[in-house]
Amino acid sequence: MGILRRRTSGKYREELTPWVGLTLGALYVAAVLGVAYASLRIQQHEVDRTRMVGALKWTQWLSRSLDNLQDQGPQELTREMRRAAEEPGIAYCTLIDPEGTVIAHTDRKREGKPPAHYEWAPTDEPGVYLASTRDRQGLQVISTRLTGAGDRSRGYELRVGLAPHAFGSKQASMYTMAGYFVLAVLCLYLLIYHFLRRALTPLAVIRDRLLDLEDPIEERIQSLRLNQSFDQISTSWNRLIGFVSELQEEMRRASLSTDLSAAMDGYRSERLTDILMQIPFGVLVIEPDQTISFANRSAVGMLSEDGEPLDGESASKVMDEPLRLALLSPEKASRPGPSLASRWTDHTFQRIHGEVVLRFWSIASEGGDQETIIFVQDVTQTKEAERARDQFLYHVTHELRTPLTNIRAYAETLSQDVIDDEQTIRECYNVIMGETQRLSRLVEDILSVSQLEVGTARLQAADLKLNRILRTVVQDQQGMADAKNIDLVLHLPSKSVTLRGDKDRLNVVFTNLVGNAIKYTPEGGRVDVRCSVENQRARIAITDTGIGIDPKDQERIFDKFYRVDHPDVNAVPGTGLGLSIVQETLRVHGGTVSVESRPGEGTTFTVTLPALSLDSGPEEPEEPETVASVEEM
Amino acid sequence: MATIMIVEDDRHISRVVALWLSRHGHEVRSAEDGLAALEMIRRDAPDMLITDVNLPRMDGLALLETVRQEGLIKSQAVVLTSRCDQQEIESRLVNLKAVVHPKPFSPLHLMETVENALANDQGCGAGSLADSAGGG
Repeated sequence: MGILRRRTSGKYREELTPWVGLTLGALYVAAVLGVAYASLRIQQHEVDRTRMVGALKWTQWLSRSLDNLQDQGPQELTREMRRAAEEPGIAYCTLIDPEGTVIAHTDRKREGKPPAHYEWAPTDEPGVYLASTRDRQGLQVISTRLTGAGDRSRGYELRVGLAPHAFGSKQASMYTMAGYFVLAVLCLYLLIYHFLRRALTPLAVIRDRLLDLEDPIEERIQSLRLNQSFDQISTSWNRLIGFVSELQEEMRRASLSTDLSAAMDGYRSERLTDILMQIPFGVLVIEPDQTISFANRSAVGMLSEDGEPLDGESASKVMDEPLRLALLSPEKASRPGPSLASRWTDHTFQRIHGEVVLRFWSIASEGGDQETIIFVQDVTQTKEAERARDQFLYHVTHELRTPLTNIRAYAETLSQDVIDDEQTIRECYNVIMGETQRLSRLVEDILSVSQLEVGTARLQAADLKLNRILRTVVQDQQGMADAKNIDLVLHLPSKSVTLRGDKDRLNVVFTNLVGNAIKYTPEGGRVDVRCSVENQRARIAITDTGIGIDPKDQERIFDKFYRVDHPDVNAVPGTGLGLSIVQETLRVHGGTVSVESRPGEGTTFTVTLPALSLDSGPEEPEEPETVASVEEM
Repeated sequence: MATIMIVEDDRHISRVVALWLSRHGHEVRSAEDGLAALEMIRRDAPDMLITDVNLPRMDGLALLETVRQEGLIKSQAVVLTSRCDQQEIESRLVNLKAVVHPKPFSPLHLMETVENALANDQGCGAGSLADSAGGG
């Protein structure tokens, strides 16, 4: 329908165009009126023509009979004229002589003045001319001039006034009725238009808005609402829309909630799986049929020898039967709870690179027929640490017992008066004293190495002259070297080396190394202490011509309490801690120690330490030079 | 008076034990490692053995086993040890007829053990001594 218009912009709105309907209505009325008017005009023209013919016929009769009528006198003429005037369409007749005098007339009032000028036109009748004009009342007047009918009638003029359009009252009422009908039609049209507009406008708006459903849902719902001008339709429609909107919102929330929940579940699940995959503990899930349904990276790393994923594999691939029995039997597996931490199963695996000890915790799910969750931890290092601790304690106890035995035995000997000669008694006292010192030294060494290892050792850091330390050490050890007739030679660089460290502890390092070199070098041998600087590091090499160290022992000589099982070594008292102290002290100073040795030929211990600077000037000795054999390089 | 073999790598301990045994009228033989001791036992056939466990070349337990296998000494032996694994040592001493004296030991107590062992050996004959391993 034309009254429902869609805007070309594509956006629809509730808008009617009443003037379109009104224009159409007006055009319709104009057409009806035009047709009626044309019909009337045609009909009037037809009447006029009929009247004209009638008047002409009457005029022709008059002109023919005028001569005779003149003879009968004006009364007879007037009577005839009145009779003629009764012809339909003729209002009046006036006969005027050539002088212009009215000689007969039918209606004096209507006679009127003759027109000033005639345009006479000849007719088919010889001697008869016609002229058409209007009288003062606006009636059409046909004048006939008689010129040929007879001499007596020549110059006479018959003026016939035609009656107004003689449409009767019947005709007029018909046309009025037609006008009312047209008006009624127009009003009906407008009424229909009005009601249609009211009824169809919301429908059009609804249609347009439904066509806009590609909009987002919120806008869609809101845009579907009608304004209140549509009364009940808009109220009902808006209620429907409101309901739909609420329903939609509810669905959206439900969907959002479901989506969010699903997303959160997914996120949590992924995150937890990711965490499980990355934790440094192995996690395995084993189904009742002993299929591994989950194994994180650590579990794969610990249990899969080829590094292949374990998912879907049988538990028997990575666990032997006793272990499976211990972990997967419902009665063996633990229940979740605080006691879990203390209920584990250790199992040793033989790997290519050595033994690996794994600790397993298994948790049986509720009901006993579900999967078993197994945690795995590599405790190889823990076990080694425990072993090392036990070994350390074992050695400490062992080493402490020997001096204690002597102290107790000799003290008891003295107290029981077992001996009476003075020399033996003095010997006993000396042993007690010596063993007490040994015990004290041992305790100090144990403490020292423990503190260095744990990191609680306090270092008195200071800038130290390395040359001076080495001189002091060599000087202190000179007596022992002399006793064994060993050449102890110190080779110092021409420049003084400064380094940062704890003087006393570094003293112990070089005392231990030089002392060991002298102890394990047969009489008449040689010990060289060489100091040099390479790449900002001081390098001190202690070389002896001693008994040497077997290659298998070289790896272990820095272990605590390790002593090479050799008669010459056993002959020399020692705690087995000296080299451990050397290694740990150097480690905390940023230094290193290494050993090169050939059994029977000699050993070189090489120490490196970070050097602070090299002084080119001659070094001032801290105290008078007493070392006999010092070689400047 | 008996001849007693003392095998100990710590010369001070060896010395004090020898001092006490001498005072008790026994003759003492000393060695510092297992192999040297075994040679001396084979050569001198002492009446009794007192030995440390941790010894160079051959440890005290191996020495005792060899001595028993070869039937070199019949009387109860005394094992001195500073080791912590005393239970393991005692388990190895089963049937070796020996008593353990953990270090630090009492020389007086050690002498009592020695005298008892020798007395039992003389009174009951070789091999009749009750196995007192684990005691002391």
